[in-house]
Amino acid sequence: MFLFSRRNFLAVAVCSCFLSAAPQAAIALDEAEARELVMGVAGDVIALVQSDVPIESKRSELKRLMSATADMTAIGRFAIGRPWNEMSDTQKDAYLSAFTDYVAKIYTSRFSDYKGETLEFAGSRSGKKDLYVLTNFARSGQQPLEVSWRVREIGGAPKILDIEAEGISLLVSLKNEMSGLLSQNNNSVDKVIEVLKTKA
Amino acid sequence: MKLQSIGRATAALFVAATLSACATTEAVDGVYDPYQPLNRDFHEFNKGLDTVVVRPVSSVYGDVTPGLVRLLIGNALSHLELPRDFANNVFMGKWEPAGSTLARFAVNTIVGAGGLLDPATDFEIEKQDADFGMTLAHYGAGEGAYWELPFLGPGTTRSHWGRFVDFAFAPTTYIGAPISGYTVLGLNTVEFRDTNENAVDSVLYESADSYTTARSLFLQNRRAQLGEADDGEEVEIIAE
Repeated sequence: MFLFSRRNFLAVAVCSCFLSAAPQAAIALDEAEARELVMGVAGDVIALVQSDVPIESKRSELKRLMSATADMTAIGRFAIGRPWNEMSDTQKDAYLSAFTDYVAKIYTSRFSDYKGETLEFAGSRSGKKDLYVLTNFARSGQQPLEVSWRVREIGGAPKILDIEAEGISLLVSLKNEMSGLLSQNNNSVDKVIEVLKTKA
Repeated sequence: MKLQSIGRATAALFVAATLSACATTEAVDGVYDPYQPLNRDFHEFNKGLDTVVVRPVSSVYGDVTPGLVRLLIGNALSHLELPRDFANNVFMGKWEPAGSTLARFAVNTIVGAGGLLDPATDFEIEKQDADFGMTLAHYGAGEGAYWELPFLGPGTTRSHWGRFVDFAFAPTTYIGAPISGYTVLGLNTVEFRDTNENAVDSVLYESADSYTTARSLFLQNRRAQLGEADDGEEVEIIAE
C-alpha cells in the first residue's frame, strides 16, 4: 500500500511564502525564540527515537515533551471540533488526558522510522498569528525531509501548534481522525474518550 | 481463484460507480467519501492482507536482504518509473522536467549500470515524478470520490484510473519474469512497507480509526503533491 510519496513538500512551502508577507505585525513572537524551541524539541525527538530505552519510556518521555512544548489543549480542542463547546469541564479534562496519551503513543511509533537523521534549520515564515519554523531532516539514501513547525506565543511562552511534512499536517490528521471517531460512535464524546483510553 | 473474482467484482463495481458518480453530492470535511461502508470492508480486507502476507513478507525481506542489495533494488525501481515520468511530463507540456527525466534515464542506464546505480542524482539531475493521475488533474479532471480498493489501497477515482493507465502502458508490464509489472508492484510494496515499518504499523494497528487515518494521510499528501491543498488560508486555531 502506498500511503505517501516522498517529495513535494517544497512546492507547498514556496507557494505559501508569497501569501505571508503582509500581516507580520500581528505576531508577538520572537523568531530566535521560536527557532530555539523548535530546534530543541526536534533534537530531543531524534535522540528519543534513537535511544535504546523500552517503548513505554519513549512514550512517556514524548508525552512529557509534548506537554511542555506544545499547546495540547488547543490541539485537542481543534481536533474534536464543535462538540467542545457542549462538553463539561470533567469531559474536557478526561478527553484531553486520553487524547494526549493517545497522541504520544501513536507518534512514538510514527517517528521511529526516522533513524540516523541529522537536523538543520531552514528558515522561517510568518502566518497571520503564527510563525512557521522550517527544518530539514537529512536522511541517508533519500531526499531530505522538510518539516514545518507552527509556533505561537501563548501565555507568554512559544508553543507548538502543528507539525507538517510532505503535505501532511499533524493537526489536520488528528482532526480527521477525531471526526471519524465521532461519526463512528454516534457523536458521543464519552464513547470517543473510552476508545482513546483503550487505544492509548 | 477466489482472489481473482474479488478483483474482478471490485473492478466492475469501481467502473460502474465511477460512471454514475457524475452527479456529485457535497463533500464533508473536504472529503468526498460516498462509498464509505464498502471502502471500510475493503479496508478490513487490506488490513487482513497486511497482517497475513504483506507485513510478514516485508519483514523477512528487510531482514534477509543486505543493505547494498536494497540500495540497488531501490535505484532500479526508481529507474523503472522514468518512462512513466517522461510520458506524463510530456503530456502536461512540462518540457524541462521531461528533458531532465530523459537525461536521467540516459545517465543512469549508461553510467549507472542499467539503472542499478544512481550517478544522475550526484550530477543533480533529480527525479521529476509525474503520473497519469497528475496529467488528468492538469487537464482539469476532478479528484472524484475516495476509494480504498482491495490490494491497491487508498486513492481517488482519478488517482486509481491514473495508476491503471500507467500500469497498462508501463514497459515492464509487457516484459516477462523476472521484471514483470507485478514483480515491480510487489517489490515496491515490500520496500515501502519495510522502510516505513513502524509508521504503517501505527496507522493500521494503533490508530483508533485506521480507515479514517489512512484516508486523511493519503488525501493530504496527494493534494499537496498536486498543488490542490487548500492551505493558502491557514487553519484557524483557538488558543488562550
